[in-house]
Formats: sequence, structure tokens, C-alpha cells
Amino acid sequence: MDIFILHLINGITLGAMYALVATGLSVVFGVLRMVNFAHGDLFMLSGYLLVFLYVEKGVPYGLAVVFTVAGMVLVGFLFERIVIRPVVHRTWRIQLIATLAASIVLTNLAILIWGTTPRQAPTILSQNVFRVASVNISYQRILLLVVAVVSFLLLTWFVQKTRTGKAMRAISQNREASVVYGLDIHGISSITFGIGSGFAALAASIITPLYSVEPTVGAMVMMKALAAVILGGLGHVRGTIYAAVLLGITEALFAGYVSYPFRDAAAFIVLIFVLLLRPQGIFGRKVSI
Amino acid sequence: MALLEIQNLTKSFYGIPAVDHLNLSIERGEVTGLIGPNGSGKTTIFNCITRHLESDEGVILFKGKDITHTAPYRLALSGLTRTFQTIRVFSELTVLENLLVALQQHQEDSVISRLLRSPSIRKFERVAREKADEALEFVELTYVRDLKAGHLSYGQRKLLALASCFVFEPDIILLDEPTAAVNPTMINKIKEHIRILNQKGITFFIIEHNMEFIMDLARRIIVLEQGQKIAEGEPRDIQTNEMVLEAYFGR
Amino acid sequence: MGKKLLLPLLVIILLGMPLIVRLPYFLHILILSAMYVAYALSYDISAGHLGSVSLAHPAFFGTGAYVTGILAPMFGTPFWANFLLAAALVMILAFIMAQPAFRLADISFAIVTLGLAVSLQLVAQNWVELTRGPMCINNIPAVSLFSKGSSVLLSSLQGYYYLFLLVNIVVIVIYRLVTTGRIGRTFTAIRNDEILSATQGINVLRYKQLAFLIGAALAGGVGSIWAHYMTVVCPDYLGLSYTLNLLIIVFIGGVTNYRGIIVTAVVLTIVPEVLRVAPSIRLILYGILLFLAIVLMPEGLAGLVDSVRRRLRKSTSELQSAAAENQSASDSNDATPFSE
Ligand SMILES: Nc1ncnc2c1ncn2[C@@H]1O[C@H](COP(=O)(O)OP(=O)(O)OP(=O)(O)O)[C@@H](O)[C@H]1O
Ligand SMILES: [Mg+2]
Repeated sequence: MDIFILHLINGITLGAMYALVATGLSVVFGVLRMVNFAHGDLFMLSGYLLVFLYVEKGVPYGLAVVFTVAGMVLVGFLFERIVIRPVVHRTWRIQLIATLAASIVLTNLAILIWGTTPRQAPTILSQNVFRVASVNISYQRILLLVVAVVSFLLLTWFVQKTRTGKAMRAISQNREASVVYGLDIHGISSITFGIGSGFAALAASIITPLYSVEPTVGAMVMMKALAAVILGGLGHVRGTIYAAVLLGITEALFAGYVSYPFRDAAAFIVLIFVLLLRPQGIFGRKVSI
Repeated sequence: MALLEIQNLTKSFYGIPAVDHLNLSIERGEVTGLIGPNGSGKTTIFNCITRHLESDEGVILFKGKDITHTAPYRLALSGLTRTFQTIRVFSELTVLENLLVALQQHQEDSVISRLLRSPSIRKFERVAREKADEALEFVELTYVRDLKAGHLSYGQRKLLALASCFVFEPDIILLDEPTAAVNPTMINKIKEHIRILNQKGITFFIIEHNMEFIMDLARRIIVLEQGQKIAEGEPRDIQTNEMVLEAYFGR
Repeated sequence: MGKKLLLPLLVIILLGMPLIVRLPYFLHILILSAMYVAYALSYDISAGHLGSVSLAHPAFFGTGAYVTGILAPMFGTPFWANFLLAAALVMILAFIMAQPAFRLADISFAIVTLGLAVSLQLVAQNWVELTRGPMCINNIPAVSLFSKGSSVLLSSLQGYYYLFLLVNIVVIVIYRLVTTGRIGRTFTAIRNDEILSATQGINVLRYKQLAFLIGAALAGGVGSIWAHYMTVVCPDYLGLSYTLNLLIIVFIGGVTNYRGIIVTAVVLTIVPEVLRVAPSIRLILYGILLFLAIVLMPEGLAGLVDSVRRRLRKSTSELQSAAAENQSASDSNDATPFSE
């Protein structure tokens, strides 16, 4: 039983991490109808930024997280300007290839700058554990859960209540009409990318102390996040979050009870089975034509 | 038995019905007009028939068979095809190839024999070419036969779209505004083409805003407003129908 | 006149290459570029001609390599039998993968194929009893023309060079057979407009799957020969980095343009090797190049060459100017699906 609870808790924290990464992807898809294949690299860059600030410059952890997120929001703006804007109105193929190209560039820049040795950033929270019955949970995991929940609430508030959030919803529902009504699509898409990148940074700042960061760390996280985005119904943010948690738990249980080495395939097995039954994802509406 | 029959068809977008519990039927050999103000749901009906949209409710029968959930390509193979309001052609294929590609789908050759270019394929290809040339002759597009369709003018594209429908001799063709943005001479030509094809046995179901055109061509007119059929009858009756005048001119 | 001479000249150059290039390292690079030509063309059938941009193509190449890496040492079968077996098994694999993948449109299709490819790579890494995992399968025998123990072995670099030329001829012939004529015409129709295709009776899904299976089988076959040549097969054969190479070659060369793809495959393989650029710098440059190519010239280098040629012709010929004008008006709308 304890083992089961341990796996479950692992799964939930894993799910929270996928959810944070996937949210960025999903928000961007909702507004721009585009999947950013370099999103995992933004996650990776955030990890390095945190290591730089916290480990190398000795900035206190909390402050380092804030700076990392702020810095990555700016990187998100920049990324949108350079990579996304030229392909916003192009076909999905061109968008796919353009963002994959950006991903190649970022991964290899990281290799050039930081090499391939993983970097770590242990914190007090990640080194101390919290005991419930006979199960150990590191405080960092609890922080991850808290941050995930709080940031989702904030995002919901932002999208429902603020002007910009409303504009984002309007664009995602009807792009042409939004142009007619004079919404600043470029501005909104900048902000959307800022948010996406900020979420990736939040995820990375809290996860990096638990694991480590290396140039290719984004790839696998990104793929799980992509699976969650599709499973949740493309562009359906809440669906994505549920799907991410579902995938995290499945993966942890799979790793514990079925096969540890194949745990990374669990997400895709779930994805494929669900899609065979519901091609539009669990929560997505069927799109015609 | 009607060639095409629609029973209780309903389709909503975001909760607003675009087609609302609609019934209609079309007999073989007829030319039927479908008119109605902008946004009254005409194109949506076509989209539901050819299953480019999944209808919410209702049954569609073609030659007595339920086709409500039949894939568009199967409909084409069984003799139902259409044009689109925004004209579509295969822009990288030549005018001739546009017709050939439509024709060849209706010939009984196998993928293997196509890969190996067997002699039977050459025969099929020859037959297809003859038919395609005949069709081009008919719509007077022979002079642009080897031009890429992407280079055609708008009017030429419309003729090509019409030709790629009738070239494989379907039972029924649904035309979505065949005269929109076409000059008067061309409109008369299109009218003649449809007449001749209809005499050859092709049934037509036509969405039109050009009243003169459709009243002249169709034997029966269906009038749509907000997804509902408000009138149906011979052109003469429709032209004098109070409800129709109101729907159209707000009188 | 110039065109007629070109082909024989090319044949002579290609056949005579090993006589000029004697350094084993350079011959190896030529073989590598020949492999990439075949590999990229097999990708273009489905990704280019039908626009199904799958990210699983290396899974087919890698599986083909593993099939041969596992079976060839066991049975000592001749290379052509391994080639056929790899192609057939990979085709079956592709058929299975196509079932969930082709239920999805566009980007979801790409993502699911990526997931499938990653899962297969995990199998290669972790099913150690079968694949030896990260230790790789070594000692794959050299290509033998007949059967086990036969003395007709091919192990010189020259021999492999000619073998890859042969493979390229096979791949190009199949590529041309499926992308021209009746099937090719249907492919173009689907690429131009899926909705219109369906209303004319084209079974879009079936043709997409057909292209996918043929491309996969060819990649599997190429992988099989590559396994013989390299004598090892590792899990990274199935990895994403190969997908990137393919995308770079196909999209810079110009989708559906086999000449452009062949030239790009050769140039992009040879140039960095000769200049001895570090791999990560090379990938950064390729990434930037790919980005610029896809954004600025969606039809690839070959498309660029074409449009320059059209411009030149337009200025010389009065007759064509009308058509060309009409065309430049429509170019912006629907020249290819990649520029919509
Ligand atoms: N795919 C769609 N998504 C959302 N709404 C749609 C869609 N297609 C049609 N509608 C809506 O359904 C209604 C009917 O549209 P439809 O295109 O059938 O009109 P129509 O009668 O063909 O008009 P027109 O004469 O202008 O072509 C319109 O209000 C339109 O906005
Ligand atoms: Mg309409």
C-alpha cells in the first residue's frame, strides 16, 4: 500500500510538471492554432538560467525563480517576434518545421555554451523530506504541487477576468472576427508566448533542483506535454491539465508495476488507445473538415 | 423513389441552428433551385449532404440508401458530387489533368496495375483522355487544356469545376452559386451547359442568388430562410409568393 | 543539345568516382551522401507529395537496420533477401502505425508519429535480449551476394559505393513510378486540395497510407543495407536527429522535387565533412538555414531556381507574359500546400 501511495504521489508530481509545461503549449495553441516544437527548449533554457542565477551567482532560490520566470517571459516575447511571427499565417507544416528548426538551434547552442554534462541545483527543499506514514516526499515536490495549483488559478483568473485574457479567448474563438474588431493580434500573440514561456520557466525552476538540466532535457518533457495537449483536446487548457496529471500517474504506476525502462512509452500508449476511441481527444470537440 | 431525400435535417453552430428540421426531396432528372438570403443555411445543407459537415440530426437518402454517414469520396463514386461556393481546382495540375484525375477514380483499375503501367491502364487512360477532351470541348476550355489550373482566370476555373463534376457522369450535381461573379455572356453559356447536361440525364440541385437565371432553369424552387423551408413550388408561384418577397426584400 | 549530353556525363562521373576519389574517408562520405539521397527520397514520397509530415521516418530506417542486424548474423542470408525482408517487415510496422496516426489531421498526426517513433526507440534501447540495447549490435556480416559461406562477399568501399548507386537507382525508379502517372496525379490532387479530391471520388486516406507504406518500406530497405555497411546498429538510428536531417534535406531541396532533393542531400553531406565543422555548429547553421528556407522559399532551392528562370523568361518573351502575370497573381494563393 505504501508503495502504491509513493507511486501515486510520484505520479501526481510528475503530472504537475507535465501540466505546467503543457499549459504553455496549450495556451499558445488555443490562441494561435500552432504547436511550438521549441517549447521544450524554452524549458531547458529556463533550467540553465536558474542554475546560472542560483548556483553560479548565489542568488537566493526564491529570487532566482522570480528572475528566471521574468527572464523567460522576455525570451518568450523575443521568440515570438523572431520565430513565430513570420509563420503565424502559414500552414501547420511550415509552422512545425520552423519551430523544429528553432529547437535544433537552441539545443545545439546550449551544447556549445554549457556542454553536455548535466548541471544540478539542489535546494534545501529538495534535500529534505517530509514523512507521511512510511512514505518520504521531498518538500520540493510539495512546492511543485502548490505552485502548479496556484499558477493554474492565476491563469484562469487572467483569462476570465482581464481585458487581455478576454481578447485571447476572442481570438481563439474567431480569428477573422477579432481582426475586424481591431484586436491587436500581434500584441496578444506576444503576451501568449510570454505566458507560455513563463509557465515553462516556472516548471523548470522547480523541477531542476529535483533532477538536473542538460541540453536535451526538454525533448522528453516536451513529448509528454505534447501527448497531454492532444489527449486533452488541442487548445483546451483545462483538458490538457487533467490529461497531464492522468499521464503522470499512469507513467508512475507503469514504472512501478509494469516496466521501469519503458515508462516513457506509457504516455504514448495511453495516447494511442484514447485516440483510437476518440480522435478529438478526451475533452476536445470534434472539428469538422 | 426520390433520387435524393432529406428528412428532418438539423445542423447548429454554437447552439444557433443554421439548418432547422428541414425536409426536401429531389426527383431524378429534375433541376431544382435553392434560394434564400445570405446566411440562410444553403451551403450548410450541401455540406451536410456531402458530409463535409456532420449533421446533428436527420437522415439523408440517396437512391434509397442512407448516406448520412457516408464518406464524401464514396458519395462521389456512387454518383453524387458538387462544386463549392469558393471555387476549388487542383492548381498544380493542368486543366486536362484536373479532369483525368476525376475520371480515373471511376475506372476499375487496381493500384498494382497503375504502378506497373500495365496495358489495361493505357487503354483506360486513352478512354479518359477522350472523355476529358470532349468535356473541354463542351465548356470551351480546349485552348487552355495544358495550362496549370492555378493560372486560370476565375471564370475559367468555374467552368473547369463544372467540367470536373459532369465529366464522370454522376447522377446528381450540387452547384453552389454557379453564376456568382460571372459576366452575362458566360451566365447564358453556363445555363445552356446545364440544360444540355440535364437533358442527358444529370439531375441538378442549384444554389443561386441570380433570380433570372434560376427561375429560367429550374422546374422547382425551394426557398430557405433561417434554415427553414418557407416555400416550395414552380418558379411562377415563387415569384409571386408573399412570404418569399418578404424574406428577400423585407416587404 | 546540352541536356542530351548531361545524363551520359553524369553516369560516367558517378561510375568513375571511385577511380578518382581514392581516400577511404572521402569514399565513405560519398557513400553516406548516397545513403541520404535514397533515405530523403523515401521520405519525400509521403511527406512531400502528400504533405503527411511524419516524424517517424527514422523509425522505419532503424527498424530495417535492426531486422538485418538481428537476422543476418543468424541466417547468413544474402543482402538482397535482407533488403526485401526488412522492407516487408517495416511495411507491416508502418501499416500498424498508420492505423492510429492517420485518424488524426495535420499537427496531431505529426505528434502521434513522433510518439510512436520515440516508443520504438525505447524498445531498441531497452529490449536488451533482442537488440543489445545501448551496446549496439556489432559484427553484422558484410554484404554477401548469395548465401552463407559463399565466397562472393562485398567488403571493399568501392563495392559499397556501387551497391549504394544501385540502391539509389532502385529508389529513384520506385519514386518516379509512384509520383508520376495516374498515382502521381492523384497525389498532386490530394496535396492541392483534399476536400475537392474527396468530392471527385478520391479515397484520400487510402492514398496517404499507400504513400506512407511505400516510403516506409524503402527506408527500411535502405536501413538494411546501411546496417551491412556500418556493421553496427544502435538505438540512435531511430532518433529524432535523423528526422531533422531529413527535414533539412527535403525542405531545402524542395518538396516533391527529386532533383533538388538529390543535390541537397549530396551537398549538405559533403560540405560540412570537408569543412570539418563541429556537429553542434553544423546543426545550428542547418537549423537557421532550414528556418530561412521554409519561411522565405517554401518551395525550396529548386523552387527559387524555377522562379528566377520564370522571371528571366518573362522578360524575354512577350507571349508568355500574360500567363506569367496571371500566375504570379495566383502564386500567392495556392502554389503549393506549403505556401498557402
Ligand atoms: N463551419 C461553420 N462554423 C460556424 N458557423 C457556420 C459554419 N458554416 C456556416 N456557419 C453559419 O451558418 C449560417 C448559414 O451559413 P451558410 O453558409 O449555409 O449560408 P448560405 O445560405 O450559404 O449563405 P450565402 O448566400 O451567403 O452563401 C451562417 O450564419 C454561418 O455563419
Ligand atoms: Mg453559401
